[in-house]
This record gives sequence, C-alpha cells and structure tokens, in this order.
Amino acid sequence: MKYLATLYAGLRALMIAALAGSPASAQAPVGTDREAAEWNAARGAGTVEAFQHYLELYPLGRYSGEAFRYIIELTIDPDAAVVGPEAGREWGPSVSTRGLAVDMY
Amino acid sequence: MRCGLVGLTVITFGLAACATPAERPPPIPYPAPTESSPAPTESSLAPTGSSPAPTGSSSSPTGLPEIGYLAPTGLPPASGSSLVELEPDLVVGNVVDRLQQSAFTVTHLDEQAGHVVVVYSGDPEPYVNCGWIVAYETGQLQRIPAASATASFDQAVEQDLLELNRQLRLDGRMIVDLEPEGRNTVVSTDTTYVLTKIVDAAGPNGGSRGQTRETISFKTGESAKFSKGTLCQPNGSFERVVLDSLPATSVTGTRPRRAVVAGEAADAREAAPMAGEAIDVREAPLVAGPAPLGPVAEPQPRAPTVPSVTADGLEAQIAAITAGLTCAAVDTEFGPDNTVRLSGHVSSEQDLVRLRQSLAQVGGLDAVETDLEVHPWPFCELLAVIEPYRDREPAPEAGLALKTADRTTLFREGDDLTLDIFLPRDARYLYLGYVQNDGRVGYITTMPVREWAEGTGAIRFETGFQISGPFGREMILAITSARPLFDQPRPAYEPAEEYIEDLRQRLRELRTQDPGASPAASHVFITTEASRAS
Repeated sequence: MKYLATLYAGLRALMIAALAGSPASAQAPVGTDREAAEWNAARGAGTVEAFQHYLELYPLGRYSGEAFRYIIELTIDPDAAVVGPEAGREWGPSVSTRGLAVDMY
Repeated sequence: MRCGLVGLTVITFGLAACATPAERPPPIPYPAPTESSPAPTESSLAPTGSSPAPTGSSSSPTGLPEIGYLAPTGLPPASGSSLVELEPDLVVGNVVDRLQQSAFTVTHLDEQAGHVVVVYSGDPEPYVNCGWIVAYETGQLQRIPAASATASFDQAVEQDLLELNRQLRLDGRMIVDLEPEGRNTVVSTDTTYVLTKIVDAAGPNGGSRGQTRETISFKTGESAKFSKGTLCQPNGSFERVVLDSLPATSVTGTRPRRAVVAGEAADAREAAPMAGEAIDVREAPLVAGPAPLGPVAEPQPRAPTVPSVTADGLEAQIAAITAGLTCAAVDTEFGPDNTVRLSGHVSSEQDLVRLRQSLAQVGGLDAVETDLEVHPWPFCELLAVIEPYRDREPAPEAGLALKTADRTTLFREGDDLTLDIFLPRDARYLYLGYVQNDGRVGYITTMPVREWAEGTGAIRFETGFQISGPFGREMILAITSARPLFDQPRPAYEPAEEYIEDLRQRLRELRTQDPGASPAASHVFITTEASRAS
C-alpha cells in the first residue's frame, strides 16, 4: 500500500511538474529534473520507504540531509506528522507531546 | 574582629567598622544592603528562572534541585576539505578501513566516483556539544553535559513530584567525497546531524505521566536549538573519524560537492561493489525500527594515524580539535619542526585528557607542549566575559590590576582579605566580586574611586572579609568603569549563571554608552583552606 502511495505521489508530482512547465520537461537539465521529481514524490508519500528510495537514487542528493531526518523521525515515531520546511527555509525543532507536557533542557 | 566572611554563606556589611578610614571610600548610595540583600540562605541559590518548576520563584520549597542551562561557547568547527597525498582509490581503502573499526556503518560506497556515505546512531556526547545542564541542590552545583545520552531529574510538576528521564540520541549521516587532484585527493565531508530528545515523566508510583519528543537537525558548521533553548552543535569529532585516518597535508577550504545524477550514482554503485565486502552499502534501512533511545553504540578507539608533513594541515587539525572544547580558551603557537605549544585554559581535567589524546592522534606532530590550566565553570565563562576588558600587561600607571596585598594566593580560614588595586586614570567606580567554587558569586563592594585614587593610581583595600568555607580555588574580580557597573546592588550571594549574564550585558552597555571610557577588568585566583586547628 505504501508502495502504491509512493508511486501515486511520484506520478502526481511528475504530472504537476509537466503541466506547470517546470524543469521536468525534456529540455531542462537531466538529473535536476529527475531528482526534484523524486524528492517531491517522496515528500508526497511521506513514508520511510519513500525517503529511503530517494536516498538510494540520490545518496549525495540535494535533499539527502532532509530525507535522512524524515527517516529518523518517522522511524522513531511512525505516527509523527513530519512536515519539513519550505525550500530555502531552515528546519526548526519538531515537537510532539503525549500526556503531560514536560520538558528539560 | 570578624566583620565578614569570604567564601561562606554569610556576608555582613559592617565594612566601615573594619576598614581604615583613609582607605575606605564611601559606598555608592544603594539601598541599605542589609535590607535589600538579606543574608543568603540555601534558598538564594536560584537558577535563571527558566526551570520548569511550577512556582517560578527563586526558592525551592520542595528541596528539589533547581535546573539551569549553560550554552556552549564558541562556534562549531567549519566544514573544510583536506588534500591528501594519495590517489583516490587508496584513500577510499583507508577511509573504509577506518570506518570499519568505528561505530559507523557504510551505507553507500562508490569507489569509482569517490563517494562514501556513513551513518551513526547512538550516544551524542562524543560528537556534539550541547552545553551543560546545571543543577543546584543544597548548595552543591552539578553540571551534566546536555549531550549526555541519558540523565534523570526530579521535578515538581503540577504539585506532583515527577522523575524526568531525558534521553538524547544522535543519528548522523556523513557524505565523504573524494576528488582527484593530480596524484592527490581532495577529501570533503558533509554531515547531517539529527538529534532526538525524549523526556519521559514518571509519577511517584512509577507510572508514565507523559512524554515529550523533539527533533532538531543541523549540518557541519551549523547549530540548532531545541525549543527549550538547548543549543547543540558539532564538536568536529564526527568528521575527524575520517580525516584522522588520512595523511592530510593541507586544508583547501570549503568546496561544493559535485552534482551527481541518479543514473550515475545507481550505475556506479552496481558496477563497483567491494569484492567480498560485508558492508551493507544500501541506504535502507538506516534504522531498523522504532529505536530505543540511549547509548546505542560507543565509538571505538581511534586507529593510529599516518604521519602528515606540512604545518598548514597540522594547524587546521589542531584548530578543529580545540574548537570542540567547551568553555575554554586555547592559544596555539607553532614552533620549528612541527612542534606546537598550547596555552590557556580548559574547563575540566577530562577535557585536558581528551585534548592530549586527540593531539596524540594528529600525525606529524613531533612535539606537543601544553601549558594549560583547568578553570572549571563558572570561572572559565567569567574569564571569557571579561577577556575583552582585560589589560594584558597592566601597569600601575596604565591599566587595572588586582593583586593580593602580600602577593600570596593561598589563604587559610580566618585570614583577612586585603587587596592591592592599581587603578586606571579614568576609573570612577570600582566593583569587587568574589566567585566561589560552588557556583555562587558574592558581592564585596562598589565604590567611587576617582578622587580617592587620584595621584596614587593604587590603593590597598582592606575588604573587611575573612576567609571561611567552602574552601578551594576561588576568584576575586575587579572591574572599573566610568559609571556604576550595576544599577542595583547585587545580592550578597547569587548563582553565577544569573550574575554572568548580567555582567556580560552590563559591560557591553557601558562600552557602547561611552566607547572612550570602556570598563576595565582584572582578576586574581586564590586558594582557600581550612585552618590547621580545625
């Protein structure tokens, strides 16, 4: 099911990119197009498997650090609603609390 | 006559009765100190107020420790590249051999393209610096590295006594990029650090009351904060696991990684597996499942390094090592034949040992001479705060200098504390404080001094205080300024953390307000002992 979600998100991202005339078109630099599409697909799916798939394709990719953090967060807490930053923004702390809200430095 | 005590819980303010009138200028008109600054008790050991204790008061009626936080000082080591006098294929072998001996796991290896990706999951403390968690309890000061994998604290939350179990986990992912440059190789590293903090609250009966989980991430040369303010940054050791295994000869600065397209990476990975290599080179799975936090993996002892040959590389390696120290100031002086002398101070004996061990791992150093003192917190941070205001070579006619009257630094219980203070010409006010080794700062006096010191430049000041416990290494601080250092009198005793922040801010304000008459600071360390009779 997660694979289908990943596939669907990937196709959706590719379709959106193509319709918007984004660098996904054949004239744009190869690699950049594919990586952006794969990244969008991974984010759309939002699963550990999707981000692992991105890292397998682009181990040195532009979003490899973000993908790594997604994987860690989702692995430690599969129910976490992980939302990364917009492009160019810093990724601040993500907090989740269950029960009493307590914190320590 | 016992007019006051130094290094104890009580300071009285009968200074005039103890001092020679000619030596005692009138105190500046603060409110009567005995009213505004009552004799301190243990409840005066207040932290910054940022503790989650419910009342927010400075006292701790439950007797629980008050919790404060001290952020790391200094910037994280910057990213860089090293030029290695080996061809890339040999470098790959060195790197992989080294990583196999460590707690790292290779998740991607492309020998042809010169790419290695490694991950680490486990104890953060060897690789990141998050400052200290400071706990005050019944007069005792405890410092816990905030990068510790586990720590427990008792806290009163909503009128319940809860045990807070704090766990911190590091997941790091480092890309090692090897680019040929002639017959040499440029080695670059870029690490993503993901820190996960989980705080579990357990009630008096041990049942779970709640959990807070928080994740931050940063890269080499960066830092990030948890929402409570805990600042974490790399200490450079992660990258050194790779770089220390190589005969690095020079640092070439930050280099952008080459763009790698998916097809290239995938093809190369399939085309060049390591024969007989047991390393799992897949990126997935990085984490096998919902991983328990805690010390998952311990870093292994470092392998011997290959000697290096040039001073540039040595300088960069030593700079990276010293940059990872917390609350330290280390000057590096290179001599002939790859010798180096380190001077300054570090904050603990452990740091000194680690520093020496790290230096021993630097290949190519023929001799290392360390002239380093150990100044634990709060002394180390106070030294950093006053550093911009210190006169390196104070002379009686030129700058502020503080000495004990008979130049001794060893005092015994009951000894009078008398100081010689050499004042700068533009000094109008003098502030004296006393910093104890239990993490508290005592207020000695603030006084106008311009007319008093005119024509002499120096005063002998009988403080009226006598030495008593707690004993140990302590610090006397003198600051002169054109305006009173503090607008309000300081408490007789206060936590150093609070005091340091106020001092740092006030010194900056005074310098900004009147750049031509910047404050001046000086200090002297003394050692106090119990009397032989006791």
